[in-house]
Amino acid sequence: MSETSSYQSQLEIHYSGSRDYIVTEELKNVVNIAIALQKPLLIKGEPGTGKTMLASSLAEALGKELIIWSIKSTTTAQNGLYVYDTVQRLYDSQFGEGDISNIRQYIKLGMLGMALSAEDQPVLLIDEIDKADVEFPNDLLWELDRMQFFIPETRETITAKTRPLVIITSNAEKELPDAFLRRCLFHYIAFPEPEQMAKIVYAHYPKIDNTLLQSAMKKFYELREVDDIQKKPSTSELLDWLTALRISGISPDNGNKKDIPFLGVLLKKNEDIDTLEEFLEKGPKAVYRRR
Amino acid sequence: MFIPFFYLLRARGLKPSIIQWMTLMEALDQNFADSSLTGFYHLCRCILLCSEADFDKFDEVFIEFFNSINDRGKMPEEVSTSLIPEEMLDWLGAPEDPAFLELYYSEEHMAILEGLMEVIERMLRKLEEQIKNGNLIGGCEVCTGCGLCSRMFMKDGKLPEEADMMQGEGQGSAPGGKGWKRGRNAIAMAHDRIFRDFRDDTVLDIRQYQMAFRKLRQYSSINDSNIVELDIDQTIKRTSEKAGLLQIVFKKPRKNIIKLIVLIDSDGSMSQFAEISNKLFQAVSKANHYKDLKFYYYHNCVYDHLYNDPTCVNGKWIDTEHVLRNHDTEYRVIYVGDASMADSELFRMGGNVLFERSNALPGIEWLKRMKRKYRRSVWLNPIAKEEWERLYGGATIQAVKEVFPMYELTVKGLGNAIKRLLSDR
Repeated sequence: MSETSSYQSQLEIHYSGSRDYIVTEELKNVVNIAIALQKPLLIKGEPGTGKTMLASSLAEALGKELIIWSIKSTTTAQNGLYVYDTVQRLYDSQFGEGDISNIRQYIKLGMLGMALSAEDQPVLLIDEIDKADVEFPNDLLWELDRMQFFIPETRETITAKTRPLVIITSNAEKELPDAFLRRCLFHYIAFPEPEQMAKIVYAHYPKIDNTLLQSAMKKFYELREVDDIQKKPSTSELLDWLTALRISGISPDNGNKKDIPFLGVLLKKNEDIDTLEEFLEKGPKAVYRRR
Repeated sequence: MFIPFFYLLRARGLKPSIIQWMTLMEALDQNFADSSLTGFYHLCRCILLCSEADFDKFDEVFIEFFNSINDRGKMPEEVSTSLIPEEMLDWLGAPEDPAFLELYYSEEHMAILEGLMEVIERMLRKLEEQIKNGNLIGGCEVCTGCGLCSRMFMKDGKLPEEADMMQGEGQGSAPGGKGWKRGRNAIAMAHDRIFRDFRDDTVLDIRQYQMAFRKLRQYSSINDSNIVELDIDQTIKRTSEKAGLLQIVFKKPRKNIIKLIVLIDSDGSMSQFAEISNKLFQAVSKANHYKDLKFYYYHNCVYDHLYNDPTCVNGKWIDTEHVLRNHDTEYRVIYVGDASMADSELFRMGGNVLFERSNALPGIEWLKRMKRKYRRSVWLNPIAKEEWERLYGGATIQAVKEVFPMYELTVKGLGNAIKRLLSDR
């Protein structure tokens, strides 16, 4: 778009999508703003809309190292910075192995620690930040603001030479604290419109049969309309489904309206499959639909 | 130069911070908006907002503000006194006009600022007095009607007069709790005060409730957690067995995995039960052993929205849909409410007693939907059990009771309700 081109040329680094990742104009701009303002970028959106893929696409397009920090429910901020392996040191002291006076060798950097001490600017993906404890994002405020941290054991301060490009994804399982949100840029990946979706599919399967794609997408968007389905199928499910259909050679319609082939690829929850069956049998009235 | 826009956003309930605002200025400075309104719109949205839930509200404000530039003279109240529109139009044409900044820091503006500071100081002094007199929490009666204090304590940007009107649309049953009236405007107090203390740490006799909630626990099974906790006893034992050679032993932590949503009917006919709901609220919120605990409020019945605080004010809500989507079926749900309402509120489309929040799906259907998703739910009713049938609203109580197992909101009823929540039915 001509609207965006004038400032993009001013940037030193600039992202415009990568080969197999189709990115909307809006998202592209947000990423470039985040790069220029050196702020972490928080990405929300339905599962399967390519939040995590954005980081790898960004790293690939800019030729930077990608460091992935996957957050689990037990992850703490300290894990991400470094772990002081005291147990190893105790063992070493008992067996007289290693140089136990050198504490540095027992300091193991976590993913965030690695990103901050990297020589070249990396892309850091903090994946599914909402999985962790509610306090977790607050514990990261200082480190993400200053891009530095202190290791008391060795009296060292690690400061990033260049601020890593930070992408944070969230599935909105938990609400994130305000103080944290205010420091991030925010983008919500809307579910792709059919047109955009077709582009995405073509990026993955350039040679796909057009009729197959059309009828599959029709079924797919119909399915998403059923309101009581809890885990709606998303882009990644559609791609899997297309693979299954292509390999088997079965058409998505299959002549029979009530039977969707490989339903398990699209719907992952038993409750959802039940809901859909009820819906197909009794029609939309049995299951509540939104206006 | 967009400062009036900033204040309009805040006046309309979005809360961008100064840090965010400065970031926006930095981005504008780097010409990211590209001198276009669309560019500016996207820029604002990604920097000033923190959640997709705010997008809609933001759009409204954006339209309100920028439309007003097109129709001169029709500025929204919050910005009508400012000098901005002309300059802003100029800026859109030529973004680097320094004359504007000078205008903003003119003596005139500074004088207004100083005036504001004086008012703030006056308010602070008044506040100090009240704290000294110990009247702050009880409901500042020292200066009834001075306006300043009630504004300071007003909830959600609502003035007491507005609250009056809201109540007028409600059920019409006056709040009957003792000690709340005392000759003052009871309705205003009901809205302004009663539920405010939900978060205050007043000492109440809530121990019995707390004991009941203690029982609501279910420990993580042995298999689904990591071995992360140091087992001190085993470590000492094994180390001694090895004659002092250190043997570290870890174990799996035992954690309560109960996730709980508490939905509280607030307002209207529930005002008379404010105290008991308040106690229950405190008992639950002090129990810190749940894996997740959420509170939402509703008015008479659950419809399209659930409110974030007990005032049930327009806009301070989230979609019920969103709650359903984002909380898995493992959640237990406790409803607190009298379930007593007009038939239409429960059974009819558009039955929501607050007309402007019309509902396409009748309340009872919403309740059934909630029940379908969260099968482990109970309803706590503050009305004594023997009155459920003969009281006003008996029919709706019966209907709700058919959806949810209903218990009296007493210590005993709570105990039974919690047993029910733990059972696998």
